This record gives sequence, structure tokens and C-alpha cells, in this order.
Amino acid sequence: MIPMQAHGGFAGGGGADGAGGELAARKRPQASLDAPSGPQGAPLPCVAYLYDGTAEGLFSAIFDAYVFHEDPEDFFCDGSYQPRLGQSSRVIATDEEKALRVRRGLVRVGGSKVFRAALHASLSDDPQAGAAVYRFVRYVMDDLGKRPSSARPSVMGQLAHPCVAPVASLERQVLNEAHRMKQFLRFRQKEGGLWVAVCNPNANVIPLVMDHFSGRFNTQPFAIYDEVHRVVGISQDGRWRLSRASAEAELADCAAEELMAQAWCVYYDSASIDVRYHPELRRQFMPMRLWGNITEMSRPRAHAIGEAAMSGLPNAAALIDG
Amino acid sequence: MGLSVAEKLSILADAAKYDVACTSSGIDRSAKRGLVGSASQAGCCHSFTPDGRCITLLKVLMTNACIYDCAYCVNRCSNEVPRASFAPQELADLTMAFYRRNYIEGLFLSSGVVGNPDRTTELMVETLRLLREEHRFNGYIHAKAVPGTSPELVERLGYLSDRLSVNLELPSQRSLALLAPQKSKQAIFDPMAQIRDSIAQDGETRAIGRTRTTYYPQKAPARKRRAFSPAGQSTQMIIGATPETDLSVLSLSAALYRTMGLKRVFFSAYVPAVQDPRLPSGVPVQLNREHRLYQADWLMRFYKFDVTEIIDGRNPMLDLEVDPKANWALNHLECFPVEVNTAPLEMLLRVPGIGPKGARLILKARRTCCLREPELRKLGIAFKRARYFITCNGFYMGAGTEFTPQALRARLRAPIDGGSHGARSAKVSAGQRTLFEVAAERAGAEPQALESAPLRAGLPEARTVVPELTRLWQAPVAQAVPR
Repeated sequence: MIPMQAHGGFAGGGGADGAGGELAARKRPQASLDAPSGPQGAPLPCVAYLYDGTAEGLFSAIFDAYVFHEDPEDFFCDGSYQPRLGQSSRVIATDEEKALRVRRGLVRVGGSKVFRAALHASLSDDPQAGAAVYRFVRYVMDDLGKRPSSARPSVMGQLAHPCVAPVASLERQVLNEAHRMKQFLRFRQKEGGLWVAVCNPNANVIPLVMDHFSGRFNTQPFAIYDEVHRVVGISQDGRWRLSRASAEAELADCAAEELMAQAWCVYYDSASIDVRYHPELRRQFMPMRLWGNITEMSRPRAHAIGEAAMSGLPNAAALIDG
Repeated sequence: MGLSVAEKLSILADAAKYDVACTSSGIDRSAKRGLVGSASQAGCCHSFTPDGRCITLLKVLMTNACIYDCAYCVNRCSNEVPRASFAPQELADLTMAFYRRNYIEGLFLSSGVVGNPDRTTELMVETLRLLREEHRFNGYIHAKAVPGTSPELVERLGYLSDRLSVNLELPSQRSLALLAPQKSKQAIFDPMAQIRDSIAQDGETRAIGRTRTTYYPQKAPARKRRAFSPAGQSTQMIIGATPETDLSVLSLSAALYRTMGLKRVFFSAYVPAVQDPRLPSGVPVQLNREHRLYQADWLMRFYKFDVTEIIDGRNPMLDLEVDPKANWALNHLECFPVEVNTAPLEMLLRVPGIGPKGARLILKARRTCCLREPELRKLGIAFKRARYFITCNGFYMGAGTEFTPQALRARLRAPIDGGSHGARSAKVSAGQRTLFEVAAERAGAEPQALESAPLRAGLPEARTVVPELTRLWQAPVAQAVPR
């Protein structure tokens, strides 16, 4: 259906066959990593690191900051880089081995909760997310890592700390967005029995919702396509994996699909109580930026049908059935 | 009658929408291979109607053909509305089709009474059985127990659903006799008590089954059985159709929480849907009152308030101007201000502006650092409300306002503007220039006189607008701004 290339990593940690397996297979000599492999010379004083936008890329870049003895000011995805005055840049190659070492360090010092916070924050679309995660890792490794384990405070408990607070709030934003996807994702059944959902989240949250959906719908094969981040999650028989997608392939809906969508819109329209009309409240809970992919919100015709059915017009049945 | 499924859905969803309870919470059930669905403790809302209420479950009636004639109900038998009913198979299929598309979190099944309560419940049981056994549905199901149903059928319903509810309908026996003469208090409380006892009994049985009492290897039970209504039971009552005060409503709900072990008591502001001389007419829907009642309900469930602290006989209605928590704080200023860096949880929970989540965050964060204003703001505390009641490291945060009930009340007053959004969009403060005026000035036209702007009719006398900002600089202030 969708042209794809294999893409695995942390984000797919829960995947039964995909990402988890790649994480397990990490046998490579580590000595070579310790020597700087990039352009040699003195550490650059004012530098931005450019990575490929994935969590692995960001963690590799954080690892390289230690290798080069540099303190980068910014971390950017390749495409969105705008240099500051006098700023140089390094393009960091994504290396899963380096990323895994960052993970190991974070888990050793702060526990898996700390690593998960950094991972979740790195999924955010916020341009400052990379730098925030870097500051957070620096704080955990350099400040707390030097203390004996008995003298380390709980990292995520320090919610007012200038290095922890941004990551905690980014994590909350990302998890909120993941929850919105659990709420507002809408599947459509395609010819041949595949179920497809298209979504436009403001963070790369597909990896965070795949466990939920592949457990819940383990009897139906489905794909969730994120049109913003071009990531697709595919699930079959309760096992899932992630892929990169370049475009959404057009598949025809199955025959019952349109009927069900209409029935749902009819239900949506009849569930409202007019005297309590309060659209601001609805917008607060269901942001307008997501409406395009929510069945009942993206169909202007549906309201007309619902009203016709409710007012008992003679042709209402024809409208609904046909 | 050849009604299509969509038409039936339209009629039966419309008939069910006045039931306010719509929650899918209270039970964590992970997904199982081969079964469709799961449930989470916090629940999940899948859509929101134009009135801002959530749609989490497919809330429909089995049928709206009802033999009862309750005055407040759209489906009363003397009301002229189109009638429809679902066949169990039809409804089960529809639920699955919606669930697989992630439209809903499960089914909320209620019904008008067709024939007699037992017949009605049998139809509901059959629908749930089809869902659980044929469709292997593992999602959330909320079912209504119809008052007057025989205990055996309630038992079967309970083992198929996650939450049961019996509607109390009205807050007193007298109102019930007046508006719903065919229902009695006993008929409502009987199934409620039965459900409470069955939940307790089932819970104990399952707990014994899990306990290891000997060193011998334990034998797994031959067949796993569903738990009886594992997410508990709830109820709802209509507010504003009868003259009960908030005092009696809240006392009743506190008693229900205490004696019936309810998870939730829902309040539904009376919406006039039918004409009847016994009902109030021409009065606005009491949405604000409903809002305050829910706030009081939250205080009882999450803030460790007792009902006698929230409301008493001297003021039997909740204050519409300030919320019940702020009202308590204003009446108990001797307890304040509290020191956020040392106060116990119970006291933090009583501070207006600090909620259960914020209070626990404070406990967590103050272990590592001293909390002052910026830290509290970072934690997401509503600082502008909390400041009058706290000290940070010994410093009072609300300086500038007198520490008296009257002065603080003026600060904390928060009118509820739910539903008044139409007026909200037209609000312009006196002297404020609109974009249209600025555009007109740019184009060389005269600025519009204030009186001619229809939006501003009814506003207090406004001062004339200063047409050019430069005049403020060129002339003395006294001349530039006429008094």
C-alpha cells in the first residue's frame, strides 16, 4: 500500500517484532566511539548540531557533544536550521549505538522514568525541544551523575528546576497529544479488509499510541498514517511496526464505510442539546486543527442530513439510505 | 414499520441524550488476544457535541416506547413523538461497527419500559450477551437497571456490564410521587441496594480466589467469570424541575455515597422538553446551579470536604457568585494563610486555586526546593486565586488586598459564563477602539461616534475617543483627556 523503508528504534520500543528486536541486537565494539570521528581541532565555541529529526538522531547528537567537548547552543532538524550570528554547525550522523549509550547512562543515573521523559520530549515538534533535552541530559549526567546514588534527588520530582521543567512540560504536551490521538483517530475500512486512519498530530506520537490500538484492535489489521511526520504504524494480529511513508496510497473504501460514517454523523447531531449550545467548550476539548480528520467534523453535509431526519421530512430516509 | 438503522439511531439517540451520565471510567481492563476492545481507568472521550459535552459511549435507548407517563420525560407515553426500537442483533452490530472505527469507547444502554420491566431488561440482556459472546467484545458497557426488574435479571445484567446505574430521577419522594407517580422510592432503592450487595459479594469471592491459603499449588478456576459490575454503580437526578434546595440535593447525594457506595451522582439541569402543568415553565435552564452542584460534588469526592462544611441550613442554596470552595475559605479566614512549604495535604486542598493535582505536585516539589511565586506558577497552580490564602517561605503573597471576607470576595468572584458566549463575542470595553475604526481612520474617514456603534448600546457613558495619539504628547494631559 505505502512505499516504506524500515525504521526502527526507541520509539518503537513496544513493538513485538520491529523495534524491540533491533534494540536487542546491539553488539559492536565501543572503543571506536570514544575517539572523535568528526572534523578534528579545538572544540567550537558557538555551534548548532543538526540531526535527522528522529529520537535516535537527537541522542546521537547529545553523545557527540560529549565526544567533541562542546556545548552546543541549538539542536535542529536538518531542514529547519537557521544559524545565529557567527554560529557554526555540525551535521550529526545518526548512530543507534551512540543513542543506546545515552539511554544506558540516563537509566543508570536516573532510572527508566528519566529516560522516558527525555524520549517523550524528543518526539515534540517544538523547535526548542532538542536543546531542552540536551540541557536535561547534561544536568542528569554531569550534575547528578557525579553524586553517589544515595544522595541523588528524584529527577522528575524537581519540577521547578530550570533544566527539568521544560522537559517535564514537553513530555506532558506530547503525552496529551498522544491521548488526543487515542480519542480522535477515526478508522475507515478499505476494500480487502484493511482499516486505515489518517491523523495530523503536532508531535510524532504514533509510536506512543500503537500499543493501545494494536491491543484493542488485535483482530483487525490496520495502519495509522501521520500525514505531518510521514510515519506509518502498521499492526496485524496484535504485533506492530513503524515505517517511513512518502505518500498515502489511495485505497477505495469498502461498501459499508460511507453508510457507517453517515450513521455516526446522524448520531452526533442527535446527541446535542440545543439550549446548552457552547461551541467554545467543544473547541477547547476538540481542537479545530484536528477537525479535518475527524469524521463527524469534516462532513458539512452530515448536519443537513441529521436535521432532515430529526424534523421528519419525507425524504429523510432516502437521504440517509442513499 | 420499515425504519432504517440510521433513522432508528436518530430517534433513539435523541431520546437518550437527556441522560447526562456519559463516562467510560472506573475499570482498567487490558486487551486480550482474540477479543475486541479494552478499557482504561480514566476513560476516554471520543467526540464532543456542540454543547461541549463529551461523547464517550454510544448512548441509545433499546426502545423509546414507554408505558410510563413521567411528567419531565420526552418519552412519556402521552407525548407525541416518533417511536422506534432496536432489535438486539441490530444494536450489537451497530455498536461493533462504531467501536471498530474508534468512534466510541463502548455502549451505554438504557430503555423505555416496553410491556413490563422484566421484558425490557431481557431485551437488554440479550443485546449485551450478543456483544460479549458472539462479537467477543471486551470494551466498556454501561447498562441501566430499570426499577421494578426482578433480581435475577439485574444479576445477569450486572455480570455482562461494567457499570450499572439506577436513576433516582428526582431528589425527593414527594417530587417523585408528583411527577413520576408510577415509580416509587422503594422500586428505585431495591435494585440499588441489590447491586451494592452483589458488587461487594463478588469482590470478596474473587479476593478469596486470589489468596493463597496453603502451600499446595493452587488450582485455577475451571472457567473465568466476568466480575459483577466492576466499575461500580452511579445514579442521576434532575435539578430544577421541583423546588428542592441545594441543601437537600447535596445531603441526599452524600448519603448515597455513604450508604450505597455509589461512584458518581450526576445532576441534570431540567430542560423543558414537554408541556405539563406540574412542571415549571418559562424559567431559564439552571445551568449555573448545576455547575455549582458539580463543584460541591467534587469537593466531597476529591477534596475531603464533608457535606456539612459545604452547605448548611442558614444558606440552603449554593452561592452563585463564588464557588463552594472559595466560599468555605472566605467563611474560615482564621485557617489562612497557610505556608505552602510546610502545610499538610489536607490544608493545601482547602486553598482556593490549588487542586488535588496541584497539592500533590507541591508536596513532591517542595522536597527539593523552596517554593515561591515563580515555582508555584511553573507547577500550574492558579496563583492569582491562591495568593490571598498562602505564604511562601513566610511572606504573604496577597499583599495589597485587605484580609477581610468582603475584600477577598470581590477578588475571587467568578461569574460562570457558560452558555453566554453570544454576548461574550460582542463585548467591547468602553473607550476601546475596534479594528474597523482604525481601518476607517486610515482611509481618511471620521472616527465613528461611540453612540452610533450598536455593539456599545447599554454600556456606561464612555469618554470620547482621543482621535490622534500625538495629541497626548503635544498638549498637557489635563486638556488631552477631557473629564
